[in-house]
Amino acid sequence: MDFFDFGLILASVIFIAGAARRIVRWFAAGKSTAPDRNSLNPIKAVWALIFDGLLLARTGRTDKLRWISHTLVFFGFMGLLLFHALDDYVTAAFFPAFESTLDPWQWLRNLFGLMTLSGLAYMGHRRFHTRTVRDTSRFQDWAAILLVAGIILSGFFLEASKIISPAVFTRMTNEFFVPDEAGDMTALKAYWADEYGVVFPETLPMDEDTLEKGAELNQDSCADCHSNTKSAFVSRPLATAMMPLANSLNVSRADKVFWYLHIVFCFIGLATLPFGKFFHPLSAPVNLAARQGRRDGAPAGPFAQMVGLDACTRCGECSVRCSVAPSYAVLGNKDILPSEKLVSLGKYRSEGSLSGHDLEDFAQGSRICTECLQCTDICPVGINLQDLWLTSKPEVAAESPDPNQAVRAMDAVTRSSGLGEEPCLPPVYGLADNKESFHGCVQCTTCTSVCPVVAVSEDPSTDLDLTPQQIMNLLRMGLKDETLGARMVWSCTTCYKCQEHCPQNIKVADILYELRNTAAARIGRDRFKGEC
Amino acid sequence: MRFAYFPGCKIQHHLPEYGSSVEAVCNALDIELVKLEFNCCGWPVRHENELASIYSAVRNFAQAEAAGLSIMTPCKCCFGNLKYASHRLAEDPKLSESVAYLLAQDGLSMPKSMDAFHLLTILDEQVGAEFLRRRTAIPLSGVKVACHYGCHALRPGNVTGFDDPLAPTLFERIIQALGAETVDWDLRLECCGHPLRGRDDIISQALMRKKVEGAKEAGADIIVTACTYCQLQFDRERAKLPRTDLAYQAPPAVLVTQLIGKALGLDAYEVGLNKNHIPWHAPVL
Amino acid sequence: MTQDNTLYDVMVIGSGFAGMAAALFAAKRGLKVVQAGSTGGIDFSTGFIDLMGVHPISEGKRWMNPWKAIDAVVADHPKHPYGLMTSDEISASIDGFTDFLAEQGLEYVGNDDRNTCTLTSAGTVKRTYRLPKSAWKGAEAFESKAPTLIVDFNGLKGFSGNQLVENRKERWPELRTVRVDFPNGKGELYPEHMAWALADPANRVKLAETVMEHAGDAEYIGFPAVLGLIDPQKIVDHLEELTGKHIFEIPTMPPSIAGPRLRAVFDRGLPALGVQTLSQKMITGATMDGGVIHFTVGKGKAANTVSAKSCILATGRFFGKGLKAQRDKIIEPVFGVPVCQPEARDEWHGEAFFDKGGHPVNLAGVEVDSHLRPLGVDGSPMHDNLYAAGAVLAHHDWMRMKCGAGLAIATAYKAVVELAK
Repeated sequence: MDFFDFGLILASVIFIAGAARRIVRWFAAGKSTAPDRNSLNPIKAVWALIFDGLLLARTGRTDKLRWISHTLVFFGFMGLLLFHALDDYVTAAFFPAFESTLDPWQWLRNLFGLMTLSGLAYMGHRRFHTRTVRDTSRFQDWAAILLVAGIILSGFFLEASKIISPAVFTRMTNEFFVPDEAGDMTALKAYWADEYGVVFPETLPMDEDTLEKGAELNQDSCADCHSNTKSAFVSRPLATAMMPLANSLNVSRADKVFWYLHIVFCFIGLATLPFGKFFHPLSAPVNLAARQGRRDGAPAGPFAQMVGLDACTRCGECSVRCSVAPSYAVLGNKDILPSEKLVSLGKYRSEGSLSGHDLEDFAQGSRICTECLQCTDICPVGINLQDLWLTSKPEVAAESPDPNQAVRAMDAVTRSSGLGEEPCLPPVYGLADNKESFHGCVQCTTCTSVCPVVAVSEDPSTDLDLTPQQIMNLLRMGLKDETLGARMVWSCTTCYKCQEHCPQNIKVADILYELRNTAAARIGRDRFKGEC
Repeated sequence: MRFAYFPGCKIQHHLPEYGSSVEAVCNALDIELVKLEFNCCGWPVRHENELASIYSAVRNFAQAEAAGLSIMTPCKCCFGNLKYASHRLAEDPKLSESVAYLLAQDGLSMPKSMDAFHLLTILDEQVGAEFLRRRTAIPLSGVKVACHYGCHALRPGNVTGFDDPLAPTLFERIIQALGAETVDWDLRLECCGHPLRGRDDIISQALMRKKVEGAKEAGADIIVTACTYCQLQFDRERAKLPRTDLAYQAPPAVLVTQLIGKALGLDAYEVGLNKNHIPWHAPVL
Repeated sequence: MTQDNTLYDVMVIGSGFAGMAAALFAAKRGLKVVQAGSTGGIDFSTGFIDLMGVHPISEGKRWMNPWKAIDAVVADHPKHPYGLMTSDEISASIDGFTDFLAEQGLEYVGNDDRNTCTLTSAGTVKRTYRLPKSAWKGAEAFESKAPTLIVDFNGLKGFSGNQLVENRKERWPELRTVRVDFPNGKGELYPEHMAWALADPANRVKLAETVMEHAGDAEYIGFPAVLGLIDPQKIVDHLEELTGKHIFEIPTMPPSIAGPRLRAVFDRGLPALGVQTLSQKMITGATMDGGVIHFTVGKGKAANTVSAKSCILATGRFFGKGLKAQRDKIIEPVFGVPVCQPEARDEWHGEAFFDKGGHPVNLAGVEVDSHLRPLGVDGSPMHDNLYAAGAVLAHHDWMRMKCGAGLAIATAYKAVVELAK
């Protein structure tokens, strides 16, 4: 049991346990309530796997650059995984003469590595330069980019350090090279130093004859397994760049260090695969197959919801294009944005609830969502977000009081001081606090007489607490806090008849809006650096 | 005629037949609809925070201005909030400052023009009743229509400038041009009740009941709406009532674009009449 | 709203009695009319059309014959607006106005040669010239002192059957009252909501049943004016059919439902006559340009311009915002017409709040020439085609003289006649 086997077994156990836990959750959820309404059509599912999965058709619809970068990462990484990491099982099976140091494999490895890196570079750039995405990036988002980049970079450094390493050269010649005469080894070394980029500690003769001899020896003993390292078009220049440090790197056996590094990165990658967004290479295809190419928000069952929750790649595309993103810009509650609301919803579902501010934020995000389908239409992995929002909305509303219920439950003292962490200033509009707003009010009751809500309420004083005209009267007397809990404020249907008919042009309906705003600000945690 | 088409948030998922019928009718009337990347108009969040509401609205104006177009929306709540936002910004420099700051954070700047029109205004002023009358292939003669005006386009009149807020005539002009008969409906300017959904469902439903029963009383065959929310209230929400309920049996709600589409000779599927939850069986058509 | 490029014959500013009447008479003469004004004035009307009831007000002398009262008031106050026209013109104006109301389904009745006594919600008696048909039986009952039941409702403010009976019982022994629950109405009630509720025949049946338990031998039953918003007569007829009694309405305290009923008639009827209505639009400025006046409608960005060849200023007094009281003076805000007013603020009001003679400020307004054209600083008309009508005119105290609606309608009629010359 060496280091590699131990690491591999450990990482695999973690991976299998973690993945099993998530998949079990999908099926457990599926049993809890109604089954999916959408039966699986295998042809459509396969079709979706090919188009939406392999070819990332959904990503291509919304953002060409993202499509290019993700395609580079996907095909680059898959190439490395199949032809390089699993070469014993895949490549060797198809190509009996396979040697990892032969072309095209050597060249392909560099190509795949470079593809992955350039894709990752754009992802990092986008994450940093798109404001909404930067705001919503969490540890796991950066970790994912860094981990894959770590695997690729350590691989390149490993290859480069092996190119320059005389120790690696010697290990190979000990096994595969029998010199016929004195000078053969020198000639081969000279040729490899000149052509392959090995950096030997000793000075080697570089005359034409020696090199020609080295070329012959190389042709006889090495070329069957070693293409010229020049085809490693990333690692070889990297090796050249290492030249100044070559001797010290060679003495300290940097190739072994990089090997360990590379393997550790790969094992971490394997072990973290079932956690957070790292799971998406497995869950997204499942979700895409289950969605069968649809982009609507039709009700789905709990199984589909669970898979959807797990399929998120946290690309942030939904939050960039969310209809109510401007409200996030003002209120600063990240749960207004779908990608973040999804995280809270995941927690809410897995832990059974959220606590304190987390619940408030989630509830507000849920309230502010207009169910416009934009995020669902756009999601590159086809998560039926619409269905998640529609089903969770009433659940969370039942748990966390909206401003209406919260304010009504307070006593007047609490109402006036507010529950926010900092006391609130008057709202921007400031109608209710301004004497000018009411000086014309003659309490004629026109507003109440035309109010359709008063008209349909069975008994205004118990159904609504106060009528519009009474609210105006309290405000005239400076008793704003007394009005905040009145049902009338919350049961105003905003038809504006009161305002239209007021003979004194008092902005009755606007004032009722403002009272609702005031109450919402007082129970919430306003993060906007302004008034509330 | 080219407009930046602003469907609003509710059409795509909750009321797709409005979207498809608007597009079909505009196509038939040579109104070009340009689709931009709009966000929410800001009306729903106005209960929560005015600044968020105004900023949402203004971002849309900025998008439309960048495209050199005026906004046209079939939703009266969207229309009302867009108008309200531009009205408020004109009167409150402090609010403008906050909005300008938020726009700058997004790399946008305060739009100079803020033009928003409701679909009905375009039909009335740009297309014209006369043109509609000429293009009507299947006159809706004999259909008695109750026009539901919708609060947020009508009021406050000094903000929306949609029509005379106490005695509007625009909607009837359009419906009469299709050959239908408009009924004198006392409650035509009253609220549908939808804004109270989720806040006070009892009163919301009571308002709806009063409206639809009033339309029946007035002798209407159908109620015609020109607002996403009003239609949701009169169709989707009402369809949840038991079929034996008087309100359920009151005249069904039809979208103005469905009616115009029918009159222009488009087929029922094109205007999504099959999607209405409370169907309208039009014997005359 | 897009820019309105029509050149109108006349712009009527105001939507109270005078504004509505001016728009009506001008439209009936075939003029192209545009009307602007916000709600308010007419919503606070009792629905009665008073012609002339009290003179001199300091003595509180009441008149049964309005024409004699008009003669008397004009003799004492030559500048009273009624002095600007003949009684034939006044008579024609009222007829024209009420004919239009009748066409629209709101019938008014009364005698040509005398006022009618009618009850108020406080039990006082008011002399008026024309009253809604739905109130007419009340005048009959008052005259004959027939057995009458006054119904009032739990939760309705501003109408007390007890007070009414208390005030009248000495001379009307068979007047009784009962307070009942309104069908499906608990808690506070508002006339407009009750009127909507009574649009439903089922509620009328319920109401009739409730009232008949207490009706006894009453021949007449009086209700507060809540019997329907659009078509009160239909509801009165139905209740008569249900009860077998004579039914009438008594106006409630303002804002009563009579105002919205009148407004609904004009909201329906004026556009049908081709009047362009700009409800709820304030005229914020006017510039004279030769024979045309350009009006600024609305404020700020939403403002637009409307042009007309002439204008009738029917903006009312203080409540209608036709006159604006500043700290030291009263101004007319649209055209800046000089306002006839007391010299100093100290003289606006007398010592006693309830001074029967009223207060000098109650006579403030614009002065006009014989063609009802407002006078400028130099005493000549400010503009050839600017006319004024209604409460904005100086030298009358309509509230105490009981000549509000009549004066508004008659001066509006006269202004249109002059304008059409």
